[in-house]
Amino acid sequence: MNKKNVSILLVDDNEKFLDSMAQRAQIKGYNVLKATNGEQALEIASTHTVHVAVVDQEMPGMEGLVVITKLKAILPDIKTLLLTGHGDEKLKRATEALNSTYFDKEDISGFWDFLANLSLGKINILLVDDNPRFLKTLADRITLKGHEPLTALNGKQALEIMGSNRIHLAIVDQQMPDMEGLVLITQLKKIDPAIKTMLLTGHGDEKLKEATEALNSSYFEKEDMGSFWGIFRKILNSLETTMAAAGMAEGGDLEDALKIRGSKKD
Amino acid sequence: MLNNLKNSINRFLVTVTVLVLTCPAGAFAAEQAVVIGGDKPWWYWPVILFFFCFILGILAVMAGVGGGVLYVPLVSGFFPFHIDFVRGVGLMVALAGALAAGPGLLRRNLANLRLALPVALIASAFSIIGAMLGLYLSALNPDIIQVCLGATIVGIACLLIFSKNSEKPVVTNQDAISMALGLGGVYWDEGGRENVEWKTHRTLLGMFMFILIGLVAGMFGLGAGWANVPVLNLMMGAPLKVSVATSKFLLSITDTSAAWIYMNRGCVIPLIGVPSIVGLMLGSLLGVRLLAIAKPKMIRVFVIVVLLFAGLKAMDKGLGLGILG
Repeated sequence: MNKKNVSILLVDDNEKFLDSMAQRAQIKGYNVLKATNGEQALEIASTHTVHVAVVDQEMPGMEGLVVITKLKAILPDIKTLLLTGHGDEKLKRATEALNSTYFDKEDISGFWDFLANLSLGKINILLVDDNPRFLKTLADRITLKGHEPLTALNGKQALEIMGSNRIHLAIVDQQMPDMEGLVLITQLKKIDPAIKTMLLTGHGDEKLKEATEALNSSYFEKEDMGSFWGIFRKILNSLETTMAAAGMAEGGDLEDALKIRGSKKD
Repeated sequence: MLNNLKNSINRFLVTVTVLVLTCPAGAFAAEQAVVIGGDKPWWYWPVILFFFCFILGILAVMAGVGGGVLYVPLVSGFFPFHIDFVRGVGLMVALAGALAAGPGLLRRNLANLRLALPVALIASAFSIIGAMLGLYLSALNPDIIQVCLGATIVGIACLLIFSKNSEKPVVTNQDAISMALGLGGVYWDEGGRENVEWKTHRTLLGMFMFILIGLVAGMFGLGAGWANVPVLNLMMGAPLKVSVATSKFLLSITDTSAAWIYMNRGCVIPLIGVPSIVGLMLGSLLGVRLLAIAKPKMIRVFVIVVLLFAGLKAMDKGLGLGILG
């Protein structure tokens, strides 16, 4: 869904904060609606299409959680976020019970990312691979299918993205420098047990396959993806690398020849 | 998907049919070419040549000497082929290696296009002149070429023994031509974990050297890596890895021009060319694998000695002294 078609309802009694949030959301391309209290918010919701409501908890007249409950009664598909400067664990649990998300006002750094990737009828896909070329190709293909994938070059980045976004599906490469794919999948599943995961690998073996299945994850060999032409391309790539190494060696630069050969193994 | 596969299979079959049908043509050419070989069947020399080139390919990689440089003196020394055919195929062999390595070197940002193109233009133009001059001299008397080739090979062997390439030459003042052409760059040095900036100097002198390199490459059908690298590295001050990769890449331009002249005169015979190129390529593939295990230093010494011997033998053959048999 295009951002312009996404209507956000901002509800906060602090007008200064409300205006600054509205401005930022407009800059990011959202269609913004504002309300300074609960009643106004419910009125807007009954006359406009609202996809996302961002509601402050502490408001005179009607509490944020109450507003969210009533909004959900008017618009069952609405996504809701609770903002608060006075959060506690109970409030957090209550928000989650309402199938809503909770953000601390003091720490809204992840808020915009979250908003950008909020599931509005689409699947949020996270791609993790240390090979930027492969990552881009895969991301382009998935984009063509109508999804907007998030990409990470390593496990650390992937966990950061996972922390601030709701991810439905993670496609993870096994061989990465900072973290093995299986380890990353285990950690992702700890954060969100409902996440679907896929392990991609060019160096797979039976044991790895079993381990992947034990984690309730799917397993794909990279070469399988393009079937015959994938193998063909792999042979060509390998030939290109070897010949480049041979070229360097023949010119007398053995060190770089070995480096080029070595990089092929990674 | 299925249609794609069908089309691919069809294309493959057509290619195979064409190859099979044109095979007798190749055989005819071979019969004429190998007539000096005596009563041997037509496939005898190509098979020997294939295995010879396979070994040559391994040695070329492990010794750090270009395949083309080894090919011409050794094949012209030990096989009963006319020197023109050997030079023509020698260019194709060097060309094949350069074309195979080129994309990988460019993709890894090792070969530098800015550095390669101006010098390649010069070397390329003069390699055409060299090729024409070589064929003219050989038409007068093949021995002239044999002697010159021998002297050049001995020179190359000496160059390989004495020249010590410098990994990161120090260039304090970039000259005007180098600046105008933007001959410089940056690469990431994994060992030192730093960005290495480089530029060239003595550019005019370097370009002048490429006139000679082009002439020699065209005249003798030698790949010119042995000359490119010292000029780019020691004279112009480009780092070793950039010099080596650029040298390999610019061979694909230089040798193409000269190869046309030889092809046009009918000096590239498929039955010599195909086993040579395939043998050398397969050899270098294996050579790269062996690099990590073997000790290339001994092999380099061995290859240089063989090269020296081949050069002396070519001179001996050309002068008709008969000292080396």
